Amino acid sequence: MSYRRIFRKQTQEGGQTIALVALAIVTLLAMAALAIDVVTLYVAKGEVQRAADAAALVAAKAFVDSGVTSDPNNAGKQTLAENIANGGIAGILAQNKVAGAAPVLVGTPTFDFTTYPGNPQVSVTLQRTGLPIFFARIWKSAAPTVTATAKAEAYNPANWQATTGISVAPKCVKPLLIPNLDPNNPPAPFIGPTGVISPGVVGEAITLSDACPNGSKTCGPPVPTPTAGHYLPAKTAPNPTKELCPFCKGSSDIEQSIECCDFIPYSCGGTLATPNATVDIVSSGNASRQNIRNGAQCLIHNPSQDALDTTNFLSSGGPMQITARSGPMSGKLVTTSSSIATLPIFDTASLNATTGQVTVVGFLQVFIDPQATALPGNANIPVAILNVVGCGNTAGTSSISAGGVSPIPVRLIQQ
Amino acid sequence: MRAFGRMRSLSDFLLADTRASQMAEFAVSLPLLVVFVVGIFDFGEAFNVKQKLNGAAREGARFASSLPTNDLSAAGTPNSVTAIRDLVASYLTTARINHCGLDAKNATNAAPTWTYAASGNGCAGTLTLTIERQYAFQETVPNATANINVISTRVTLSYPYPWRFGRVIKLVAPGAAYGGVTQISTDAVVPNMD
Repeated sequence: MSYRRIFRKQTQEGGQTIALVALAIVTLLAMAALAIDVVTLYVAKGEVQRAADAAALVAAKAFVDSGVTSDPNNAGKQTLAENIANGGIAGILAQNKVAGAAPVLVGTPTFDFTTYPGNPQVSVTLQRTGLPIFFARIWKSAAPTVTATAKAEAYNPANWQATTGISVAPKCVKPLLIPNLDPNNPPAPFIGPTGVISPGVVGEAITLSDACPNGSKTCGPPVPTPTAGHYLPAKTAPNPTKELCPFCKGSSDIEQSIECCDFIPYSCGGTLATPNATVDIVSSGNASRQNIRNGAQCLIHNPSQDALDTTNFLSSGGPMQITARSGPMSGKLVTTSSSIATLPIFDTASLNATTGQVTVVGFLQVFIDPQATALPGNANIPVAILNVVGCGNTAGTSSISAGGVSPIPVRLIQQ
Repeated sequence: MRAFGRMRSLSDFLLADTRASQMAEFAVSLPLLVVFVVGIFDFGEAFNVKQKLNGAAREGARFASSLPTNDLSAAGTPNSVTAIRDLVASYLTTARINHCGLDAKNATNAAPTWTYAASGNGCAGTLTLTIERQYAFQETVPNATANINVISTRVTLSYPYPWRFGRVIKLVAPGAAYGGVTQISTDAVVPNMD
């Protein structure tokens, strides 16, 4: 090829760069579609998963609120749990938005009460249709959809004690040891020998009273044998530095242990040979009662403590209703309360009258309800039972630690 | 003469050459290309930040939901709220996002809502973390006398994202004025488990 021909060819190539750039811009637009639209989808996928997780958690919390984990085969409580869960899911959809709009429920949530009794599971699938797209319209006009499923459970090992139950080690347990005797149904225990919870315990109203002598005497030795409806104050340790205490906190260890959340897991379960709590045999009865009363009053924000109404729960399959009496929700029905406390249940036969050692076999989740008055000076504590947890008999091995003050862990098991 | 002839052929060559005009065309189109490429990077990064902020808010809310509410009436900022701040700050650090000195900030608002505003560490603006420990939404349950307020924790995060796009758009449209910083916001709501 001669130079002249090459030169002629070059003269014909004027404007080729513009053509190339135009082509490059189309390619870049396609890359922009990938970079921006695909990442929009990824962000939406993350958001819909977050919404599904929150929906599954609110549904699993309904298992705790309905008491179904303490009475897993009760059809009425199963229905109540489903009702509360469906209400909660419907409410939370608008809270966790996906690309600026609330996701929708796909089908209905799946509840499973039977596979693992006392350990019910719920699966929720959410979807967000009509996601906004920008550049990908070049290729596709239909708006894309993202879907996510989350599964959560509430774990109560009560029905698993005889087999493979893994223990629970709840935090923020109040140091009032309750004998395993139901005062409303003598001589039945709260938790049977195989861990099964006696029927009809959830929703019961009982009054707990101090089994230790009043006045200047200490609680033994020998420690008095408690009967149904009693409690024994447990030996407590000083609060850790990073304390979780309310404004009205007192000074003594036992008072702080009641009103604060010390975040120390309470060990539970095991045989008579491995006691895991000790009765306070050092403090005098009088001082102890005063501290317990003050601690409980501070915990529930007396005189503006929340109120509990179990009428609908006991009669018509409705929920237990907590009415807030302080804070921004004052006067309204709420799902949680400062008045909810976890108390350890001990095996009465395990009490060592000399040392005060006991074996904890479970926990009572109670609502402290002095009916709009102050707690009496003798430190009697009127409570309503919300849940009973048999903690399993595998002390020393693995245990599940609940967050917050609930002894029934609620957790996501599949995202 | 021979030399002149050579010069003439050189001038012919230069006049006939199109390489210079290609350079000119490229010079015209280069700003456009730069704007496109920087735009792709910038918007991609913005979405990336949004994704990470979503994760931080979600983790903060879920952690908060499992915390007790005993200490919310404590004087100053309760330890449980500080713990949420620390979790969000460490999540951002792990995700390689500048948390603007959030981990050393004190909350300003009163209970039950706490707000942290951080603008240190060379941030382009102010990062705001809001923790509402008694945020409520309503649920309807059959056989209940009224709607029940589900007490939840809401964590809101607003992050100052500095655009690089604003600097290069002037190459194409010199009069364009894009904001240098956009607040990217996200929030998450998880019911309290206590």
